[in-house]
Amino acid sequence: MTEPVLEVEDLRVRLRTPRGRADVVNGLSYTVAPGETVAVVGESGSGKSVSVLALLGLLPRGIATVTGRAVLQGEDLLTMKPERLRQVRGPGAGMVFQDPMTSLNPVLTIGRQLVEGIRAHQDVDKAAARRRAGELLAEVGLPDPVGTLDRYPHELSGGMRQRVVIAIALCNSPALLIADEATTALDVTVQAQIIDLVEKLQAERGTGVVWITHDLGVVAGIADRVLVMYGGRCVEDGTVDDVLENPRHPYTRGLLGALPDLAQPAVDGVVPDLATVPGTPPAPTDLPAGCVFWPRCPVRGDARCETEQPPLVQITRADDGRARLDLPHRAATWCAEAPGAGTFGTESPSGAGTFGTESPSGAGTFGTESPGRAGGGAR
Amino acid sequence: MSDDVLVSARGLEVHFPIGGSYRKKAAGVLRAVDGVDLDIRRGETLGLVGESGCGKSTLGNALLRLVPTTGGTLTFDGADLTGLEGRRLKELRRRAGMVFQDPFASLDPRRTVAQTVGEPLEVHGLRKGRDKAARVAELLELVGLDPGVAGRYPHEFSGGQRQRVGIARALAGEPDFLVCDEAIASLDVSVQAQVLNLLRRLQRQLGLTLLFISHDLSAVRHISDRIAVMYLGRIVEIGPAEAVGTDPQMPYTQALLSAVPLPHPALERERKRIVLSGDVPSPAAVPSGCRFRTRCPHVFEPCDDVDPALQPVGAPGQQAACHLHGIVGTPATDAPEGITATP
Repeated sequence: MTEPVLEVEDLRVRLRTPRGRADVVNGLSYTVAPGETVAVVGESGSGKSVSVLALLGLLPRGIATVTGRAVLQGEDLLTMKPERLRQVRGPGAGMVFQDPMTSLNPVLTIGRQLVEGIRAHQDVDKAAARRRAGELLAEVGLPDPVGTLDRYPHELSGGMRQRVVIAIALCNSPALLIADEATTALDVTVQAQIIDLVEKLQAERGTGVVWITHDLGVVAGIADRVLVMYGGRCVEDGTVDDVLENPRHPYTRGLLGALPDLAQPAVDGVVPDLATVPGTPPAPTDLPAGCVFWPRCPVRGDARCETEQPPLVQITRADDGRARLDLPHRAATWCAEAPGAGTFGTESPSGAGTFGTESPSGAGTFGTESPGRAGGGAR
Repeated sequence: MSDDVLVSARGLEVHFPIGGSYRKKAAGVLRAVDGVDLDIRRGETLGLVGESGCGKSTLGNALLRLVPTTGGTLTFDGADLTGLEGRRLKELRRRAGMVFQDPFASLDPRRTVAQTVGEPLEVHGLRKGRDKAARVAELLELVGLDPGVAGRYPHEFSGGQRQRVGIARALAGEPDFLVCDEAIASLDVSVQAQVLNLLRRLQRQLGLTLLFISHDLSAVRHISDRIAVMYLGRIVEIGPAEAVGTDPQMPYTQALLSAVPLPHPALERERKRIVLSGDVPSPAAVPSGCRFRTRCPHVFEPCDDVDPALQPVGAPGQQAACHLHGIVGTPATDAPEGITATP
């Protein structure tokens, strides 16, 4: 495997809030290889956005305490001097934010905003930077790229604005592109255009991409690897096939079950109720002592769930030919572990049966509309 | 009109004048809803999908008389709505409720849940005093909230709980018809599922007629009996959820469906996506002929000239407005005012 673009190790972010200490990110580790897309999924408050803002030093100093290591092309972002970090933002890592209306300056033309980014990092004169800006806009597929340079953000549609934001993020050919809910505010047809664009540019330039989203559908389409976050921890990670087709953590299963599925036809004309995860995510100021998902978990199949934090361990079966050693499937749960053994040769029938991510009948056992009902999967 | 239709629109138009700048007078007309024919049957859930700006929210508002209509007819339970005023309009307000998108903005932060949910009861003179409190408790229980929370304020609730309060308020007048305008859009996936299930349960339990407006096709497909697809102020396809969801007949619906990301990696890799080029044209400058022709991959001769009308295609009850299934519609005239569908 080639040298990773980004290597994050035991990233922790703690915020000082009026309600006390908030542990927003608690020990996150992952790597991004060149040309690879790592998707970080989770619901609001799971710490997914904060984890990347922390990487680029975009959290307010004095409120946020960031620890761990985040090595981007051989340099640790977290111990970097602010001046050096400024140089890295751009050629090192570009970022695309969720809302293209608020991430562009409404009183500056598109051209000025692009030229600013180019000239901050490259020694070129204004005319050359403007030419380069026009080329970039053409690259991201804007009609009339040169004319667009003199227009203001409000003159463009949401999809076009997001293309501009992507052009700005890419103007210094970054090794890493971070997209934080980059398509969430867009319509599905425009979302498809933007995803196609990022994939194309990524293939051309070999950019590593960290894609933050709550949409598991988007993940299935773009990601090589998935990281599911809950309560500031990674509860499950692995290849996109492993995690979405064979989820092991009760939370991942719950999340997938809660998704209305266009691909799943009605059974005899009756659409089954969706599985729901009862309750709400824990507040980062008050995380449970054991497994973060324990208070909402319908399985609770182990005595350690309440008191002991499950480590993120590999659950790929050794005899599975598809298993990739460089991309192990890992989950942080006591439930996925076979009793008394370190290997996971069995299909773990009780667990799989209860959630039944494949079968609609399993939906009912996840406690539809009845908060607190535990599933029958306890071992 | 048959008895089982609750809400019916014929050639419904909602046009807004767009005034130019400080120098110019009204420069044109924005056709938010532009000739919609729609029947919503009693007890059904009709899903209304489309991209932002296609007029789906305006249509939902127009059906409840929340925006003035500029043309066409609109009936509710057989009675004409367009000229309704005073006491009879108030009766419509009781019989038709609305659940809004943003549960953070649609609840008054200074009123308790009991005040919010109880207000319709007062306005319509349905319950007073202790009866009212009992009814509020009943409504809260109906939407899955503990009646003990009646004295609390919106900020004490999570997004999903607030949306439940919004639903309880909409149900207070015992309506027949409920419009849910992007009611789950601002909620997290697991909470979305809770609200979707709740709406389905209420619909069955109370025999509600539901118009479920959303841009999320998966959710619409899940909750709806029938789906209507809207593009630039017009309904371009309508039919049973299963048929529209699996075998769409209009190229726009096909593109929209193919763009919905599915949570199945293997399926996603094999899927052929129809990527539409460009953006939706402005509703202030609707293309002549078929409004989808500027982005349609199948555009051919008559699309420029003839405005397609909905025609039966595919499964029973399915209709699409597309010339690929035979050229039916109104020839475009030079005057843009002439664009109305004649089935």
